[in-house]
Amino acid sequence: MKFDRRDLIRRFGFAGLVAGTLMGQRGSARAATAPRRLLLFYTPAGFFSSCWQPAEPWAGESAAKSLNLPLSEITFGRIRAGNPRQNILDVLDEPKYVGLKEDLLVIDGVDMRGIERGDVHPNGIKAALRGRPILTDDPGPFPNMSIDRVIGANLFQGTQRPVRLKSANLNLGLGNYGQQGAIRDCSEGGTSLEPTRIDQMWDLLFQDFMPGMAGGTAPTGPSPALSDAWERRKLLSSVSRGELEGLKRRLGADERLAMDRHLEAMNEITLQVENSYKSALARPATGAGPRAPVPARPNGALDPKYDLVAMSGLAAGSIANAMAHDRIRVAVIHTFGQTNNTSYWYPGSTGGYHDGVAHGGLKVAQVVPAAMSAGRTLLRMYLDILLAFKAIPEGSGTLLDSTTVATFSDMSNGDHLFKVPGLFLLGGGGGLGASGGRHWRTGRYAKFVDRGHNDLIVSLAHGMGVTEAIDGAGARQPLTQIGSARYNNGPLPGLTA
Amino acid sequence: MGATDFEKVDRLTYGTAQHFVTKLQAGSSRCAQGDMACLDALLGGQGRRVFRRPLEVVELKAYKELYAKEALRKGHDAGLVLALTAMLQPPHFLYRSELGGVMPVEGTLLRLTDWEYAAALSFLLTRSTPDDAVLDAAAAGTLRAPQGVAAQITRLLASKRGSAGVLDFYERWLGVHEFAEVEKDAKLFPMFDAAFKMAARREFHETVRAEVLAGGSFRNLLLTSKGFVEAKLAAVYGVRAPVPAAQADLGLARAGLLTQVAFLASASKENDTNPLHVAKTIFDQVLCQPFPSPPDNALLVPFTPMPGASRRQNMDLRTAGGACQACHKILNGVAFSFDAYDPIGRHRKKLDGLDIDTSGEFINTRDANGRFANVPEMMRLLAASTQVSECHVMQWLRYSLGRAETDADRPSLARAHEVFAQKGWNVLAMLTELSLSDAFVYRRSTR
Repeated sequence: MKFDRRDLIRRFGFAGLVAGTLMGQRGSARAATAPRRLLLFYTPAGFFSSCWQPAEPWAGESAAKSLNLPLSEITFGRIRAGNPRQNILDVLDEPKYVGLKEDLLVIDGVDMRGIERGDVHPNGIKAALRGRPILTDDPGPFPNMSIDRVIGANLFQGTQRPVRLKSANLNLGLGNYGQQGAIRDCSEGGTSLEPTRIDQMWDLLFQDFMPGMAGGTAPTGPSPALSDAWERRKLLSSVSRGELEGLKRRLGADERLAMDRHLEAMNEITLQVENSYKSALARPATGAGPRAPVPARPNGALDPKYDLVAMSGLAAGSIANAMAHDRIRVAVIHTFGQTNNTSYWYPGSTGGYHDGVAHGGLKVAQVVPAAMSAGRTLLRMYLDILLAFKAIPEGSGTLLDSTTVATFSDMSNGDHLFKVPGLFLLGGGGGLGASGGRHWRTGRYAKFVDRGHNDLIVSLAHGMGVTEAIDGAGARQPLTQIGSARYNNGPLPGLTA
Repeated sequence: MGATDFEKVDRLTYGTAQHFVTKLQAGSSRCAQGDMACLDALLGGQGRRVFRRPLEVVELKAYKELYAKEALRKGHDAGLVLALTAMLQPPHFLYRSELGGVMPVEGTLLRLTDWEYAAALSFLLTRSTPDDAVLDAAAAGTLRAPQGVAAQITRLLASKRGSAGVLDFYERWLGVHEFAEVEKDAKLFPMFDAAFKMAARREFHETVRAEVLAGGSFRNLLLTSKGFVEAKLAAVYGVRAPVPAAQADLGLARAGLLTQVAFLASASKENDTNPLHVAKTIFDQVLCQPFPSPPDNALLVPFTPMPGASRRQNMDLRTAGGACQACHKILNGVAFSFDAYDPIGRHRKKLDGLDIDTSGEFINTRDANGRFANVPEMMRLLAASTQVSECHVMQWLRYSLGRAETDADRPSLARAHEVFAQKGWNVLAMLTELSLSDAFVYRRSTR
């Protein structure tokens, strides 16, 4: 007989609690611990993999490697043959970022297969989010799925929060190359915010939440619905907390742990509502009082060509706070500087990075410093996002513990629709709370061999607790494949604890 | 429970409480503001249903205080909603308590309280929380007497929701519980649609109702040649469908649940049967004589099928030596008798153009050994076996307690089996005895 009905807690005849009613029928350990929010960070031009791929013997070990060692001492590969070995992963040794090593999972060895050269960038970006081969006519069972939309629609379906769910793509692509439209296309059928400027983004996230702030006046305070939600949650928590503590005294160790998780979960939701309420009460300019203040409205006149890193930081701060207040739960940052003639401009690089590297605009001698500069800039922008999430308390940890922050790209080595393995970063934990540990197995460099980026997207969905999705015919079915079956070999193993 | 789960619970319980209060206040039993006696009765009554026991004094006081604070803030109905929401969120509701009395009866042994016993009995039979009658019997102290348990079992099983647990048990016993998800190759079996599956599942249920819930014999579950035939199933069985649908004789090729469409189709693949899976089900579930899974490299052993041989003969050849032999010499004879049925349960005499050999033999069982000419004869061996009837009691114990049996359960199993035999393999009589057994009533403390 299978014991899927009553054995959630009880073990072999011991006294305790038996899962019944609500909790007895559905749910799994994964669903209970999976991250609750997702931020995808688009890395234009991708990373030069060789900067990240350790040379022998470090890379020769098949098992994932710990990041908790001096990375500056590791020998990495070469960007171009004949050039010195390069290393951008040593950014993680910088004092500002060294504490993030435990939050980071580096994924290597995944390439974008099922694509063919000659297609345009927007289709590549769609493919990066959909995992769909571009030039073939075999879309697989989920032809129009975009990973951010599927996770938003499935994981948080029907949620009625004190503040309404605005799960969608938040798109800061300020160029005119079509990429922004590509991400918007991936939002078909989903509720989506689509700002094109940093100040518009703030307005969409917060204006109806704190209408007084946009003009620089004092906030009008929390809405009646938010006030009501906070009062109700306070009252409920006060009763439930006492009941839980009383019950724990009668339980064995395993069941006490389950009650601790219950209490932790309740505290996390309570604090989330509290954050929203107190932030709405406070004047953000003073910086005092609220645990997670709504950030000031950014200056819309920022020029992305010259303030790319600053803009990324502002976006990350706004999104992290919006997630802390439950304004959105799934977001995409799509940030790059661009003019009509020089695409993907980065501080420190000369001219258009992608044009220069992929289309021959840079001399060979210029490629290495440009690639190093772009790689380090991208990495720091990404790490700054993690820091923004880690700065906000939640439950007994931080917002980062229950958020996945992942990179994605249609490019690697500065080139379009990469056939060489790209580099992907996955940050954040999973809110395991009282049990300790993490959902994603972070703090490691995981090397895979000959795996498609379709597998990475399936892994991301599974890691977020989404194992089913609506297929092209409107039926719900297991999410084991994205795109053509030819490019799928199952989720990447060993990414979750 | 993670935060996402708690968030869902929070939303669901608040909505449920709002719905309840809306209906309550629109009806004749509404509680007027300021009527504290009515409030006490409402919270106390609902608390007993939700916690499956009376509220303790401090609990009732806490809910009343919660009501008062919210009523002051948002009014009488809002106060009721919040108090009821608070009852639905703690572990007392979300989990079923089996903590026993405050003091162990002996060593670390705890006895379920009357209220915990009421919940255990109700969840076993109905898969749901106890109704007022069961709770009243627990309150009166009459539930645990043998007559009390028998009366409640009879009453619950006769109620609308009462058979849910029994039907669920038999579906899980034979792996039919996911029958709705079973698919077949539409080109080969175009009749296997949603309506067909519903008809087959109804037949399975009606057979359980007739042979178990109506007070029949467990052995008949393995022997009956009758089925509940609807038009969709008539062609499969080769019989005329009664109008309206009713129990009808299915002929000599059928004997019990294991020869009905629901089991045969569940145990098959989309386009073929899966005879070894059927045999494994019989040994695992019916005889409680489980086999290990085949080694990972089982299919890597090179084998070239013999031309002109049946698949049974080829399987015998393939598994005649090495590590395969130990299990397959026992399994094959049972498995390939089921070649007499196709993937949707139709009886057949030929497969791949060859006559089907439906004979076989049970070996290495405790008391079911013997040769049989076909599946109905196999079922007669199983029905007469004490190993099978003891296994059935053990499966019910596993299901009722949600765990595997231990040495400490042996006296309870033996007594329940004794009653099972005395009462002509009446499942309800056996269940009553099992519900009164030490295994059902006592727990070990982990504190």
